[in-house]
Amino acid sequence: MKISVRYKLFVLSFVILAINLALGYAVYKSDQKLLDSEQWVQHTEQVIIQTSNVRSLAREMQITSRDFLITDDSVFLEPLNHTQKAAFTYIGLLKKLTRDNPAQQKLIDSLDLYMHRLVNYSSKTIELRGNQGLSSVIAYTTDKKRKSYTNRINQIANAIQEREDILFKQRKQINTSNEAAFSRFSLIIFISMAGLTILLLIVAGKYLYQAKEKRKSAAELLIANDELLFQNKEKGNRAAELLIANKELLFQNEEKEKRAEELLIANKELLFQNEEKEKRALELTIANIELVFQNNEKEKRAAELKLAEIERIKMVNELLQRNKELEQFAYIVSHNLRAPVANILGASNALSDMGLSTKEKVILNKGIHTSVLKIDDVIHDLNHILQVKGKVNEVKEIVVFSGLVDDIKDSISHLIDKNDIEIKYDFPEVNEYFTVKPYLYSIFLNLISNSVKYRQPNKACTIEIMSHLLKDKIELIFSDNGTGIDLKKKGEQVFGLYKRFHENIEGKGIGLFMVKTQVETLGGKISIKSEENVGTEFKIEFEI
Amino acid sequence: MSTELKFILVDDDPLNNTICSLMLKRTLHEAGIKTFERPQEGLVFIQSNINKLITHSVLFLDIHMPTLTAWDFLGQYESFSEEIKKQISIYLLSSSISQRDRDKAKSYESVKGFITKPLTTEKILSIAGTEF
Repeated sequence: MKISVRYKLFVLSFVILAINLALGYAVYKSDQKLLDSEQWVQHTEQVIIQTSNVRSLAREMQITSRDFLITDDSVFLEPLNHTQKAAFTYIGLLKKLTRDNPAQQKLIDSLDLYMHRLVNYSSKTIELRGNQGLSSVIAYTTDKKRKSYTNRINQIANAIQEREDILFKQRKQINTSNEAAFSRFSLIIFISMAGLTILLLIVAGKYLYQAKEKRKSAAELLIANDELLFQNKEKGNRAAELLIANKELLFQNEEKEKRAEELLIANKELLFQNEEKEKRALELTIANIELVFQNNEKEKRAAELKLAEIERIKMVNELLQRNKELEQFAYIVSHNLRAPVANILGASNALSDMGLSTKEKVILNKGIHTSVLKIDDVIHDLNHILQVKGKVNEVKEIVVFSGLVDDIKDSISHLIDKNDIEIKYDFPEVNEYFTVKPYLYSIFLNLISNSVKYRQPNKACTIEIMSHLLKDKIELIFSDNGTGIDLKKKGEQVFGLYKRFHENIEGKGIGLFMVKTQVETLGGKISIKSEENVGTEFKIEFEI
Repeated sequence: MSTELKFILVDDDPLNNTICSLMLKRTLHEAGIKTFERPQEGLVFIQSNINKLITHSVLFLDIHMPTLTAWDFLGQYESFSEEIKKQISIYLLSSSISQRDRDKAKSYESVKGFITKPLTTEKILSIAGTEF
């Protein structure tokens, strides 16, 4: 394709070059023709001029020879000879010029003849003048031949000129038309050459542009071609795979058809079995209802057992706690009984065998007495504690908190008045509780006494009692501004029996133990918050 | 100290201290006895006066005291220098007849023995035999 266009272009260029060469040759030819016709015109002009010259020379000769004949002066002979020679030279020239024209040749030959006759005649006369004188010449010339010769020459010359004039006119016309034709032709040739050249340039340009475009698109096509080849290959692969897959599917299809047939048979079997199963299901449903009923019964029983188990664990824990408490109780009681007993033993031992001073004896006896009193105290405490722990089913009544506090204030008024003590209470939310009055009285009294006992020295003692009613319980708060206690160190032992933390203050370590015992007997809980040198707060919670 | 200090008594019960002092004086004719009803004071005394203790001393320590128990006392004593510990032998002197307290006492390296109150002539002589 590419080669073809290039070939076409080459051929076109060649053709245009050939046409241009042909046109150039044609112009050259036309120019030659024009030059020829011009030459012919000049040639004709020459003939006319030479003919005129010959005629003039003939008259010259006549005049010159007459002058000599008259004067017999030889001066005139020289120009006469010269003229004769010139006349023949011109006639020779004319003959050469008109050699292509036979009609003119004849006329020129006769012109030559008459010229020769004229010259001969003239020579005769000149001879006669020289030898015989003028009269012989006159005699000789009576025939008037000279005149006829001259006339004859004139006539011939005129005939030649007439013919040449016609030729001249003809040739001039031809030349003029040639000139016009040449200029027309030149113009056409120039336009044609220019047109062809422009055409060639346009075609070549177009070809170059197209070639460029084609190269571009060819590159694109090459890429696209590669892509197509790759896709083709892929498709080939895919087709191969599909063929395999197709075979596989066909095989599977056959298998499935077989399987479907088998399934139809199996289905029938299943339908039959289904009916059987439905019958059985109905029977099972009835059995199930029975089982559900039994299950519910068992669940109820299990729930009851679970509750019983929880109750049992609770009871065991309570018993364990109680046991631990009793162990602790026994240990503490034994210690508190053993201490005064050991003192009595030691003192009596000392008294028995040594010679003591009276003063020493008094001290030891006093010691024995104090120890015995201590034993008595412990036995009283024990009795009191056992009474509280034992009597769970005391008669309950509505107890008004404010009344209770007022009663206590009355009973310890001597203490309150003596020491700068203020007891404030506020029970707007709840002011009464259905409980065992003597226990609650004891709790209030012990807590107030505790605050009084552990008040800060040199500082007014303030005790505040408040109550809160919560969703399912009553809270009683006892707070003071007393010495407080470091709970990090002693926290566990605050409510312990015979636990004392202050050496300066009178106390047996039984008050808070009793409070805790009584609160718990009434089904409540007690907790403590305290900070050294700031104060203490007890919180009692009773369920409602 | 003009006299040699041989016995230190730490007990919150003044009656016990009186009886013990009497018993020691009568049995060993010993005058070098110092008593502390507040255990803290006993600790401070030991730490600050150790250089004045010329001879080896015996410390009788009560267990149940309101401000500081014997166990608290021993806990602080453990941190004292070896010099002090070599100089002093501690005996727990308690009214307790509980085995629990005896077992607990054994766990303390610095406790030499456990004596049940009252302190008798026989017990004093036995200790003196081992210590002096």
